Amino acid sequence: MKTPINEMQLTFPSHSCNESYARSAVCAFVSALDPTLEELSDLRTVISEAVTNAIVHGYRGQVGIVYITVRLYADRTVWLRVKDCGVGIADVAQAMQPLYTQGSEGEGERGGMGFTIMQSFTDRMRVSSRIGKGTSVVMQKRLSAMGGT
Amino acid sequence: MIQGCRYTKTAYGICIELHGELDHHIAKSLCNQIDDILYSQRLGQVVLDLSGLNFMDSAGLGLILGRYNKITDLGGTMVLQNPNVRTRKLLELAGIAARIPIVFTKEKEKKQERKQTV
Repeated sequence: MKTPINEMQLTFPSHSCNESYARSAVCAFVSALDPTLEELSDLRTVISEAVTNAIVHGYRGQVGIVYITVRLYADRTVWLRVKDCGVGIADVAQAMQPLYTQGSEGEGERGGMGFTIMQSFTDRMRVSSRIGKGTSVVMQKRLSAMGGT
Repeated sequence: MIQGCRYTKTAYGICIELHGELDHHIAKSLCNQIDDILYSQRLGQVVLDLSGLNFMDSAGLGLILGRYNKITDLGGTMVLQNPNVRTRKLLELAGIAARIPIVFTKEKEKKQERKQTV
């Protein structure tokens, strides 16, 4: 992709009270591209899933920093990255299977649907992780042309 | 009510309304509040009214499924009432729409129709 027309970075400690803030901040930033309500809702949801994963699985109750980067491109693509320096994922492919974490420690009653939702609501999603180093989730969503409903 | 839940008694059981955002942060305390209601009432049909939610993610899906299982164990039935378009999208993705009945009350039905024809 070419150079982004705008970019923001956000960092905050992995307290669950920051999940709402992260959603609002990312949506506020993306609003400049005038997304549809559905697109905004999709982005709000995937950010919530990725940030919650960092808090629940990455840092597992300990406090660490969550790093969010959002880039906006001229072709109306939104590029999002949510990163943590937590425990990492041993087998990413396995972790991405729906319901894999259902019932596990920390996942509580979320139901193991996080990755499935992120994949469904964005055009592309990539998860990279290293044990003991952390996890990075990158998503891309190209917004529809302006002037739609 | 901006955030939280409240319940009313109905002819067939109870109606629990959820309000505000339903995410991982709020889910545990909301689960506890709902469970307190479930244990203190004669259940019958439990209507979980989602019209007051302005956001829901997979934590909400977990809450709904967990309450459904609990209500079923306690001998009651559960329906989801008036989820908005975005909540429905999530319920369908998770397959919950196929397992738990979803109902719309008359005024919400009209609103949904109006939105679709616009």
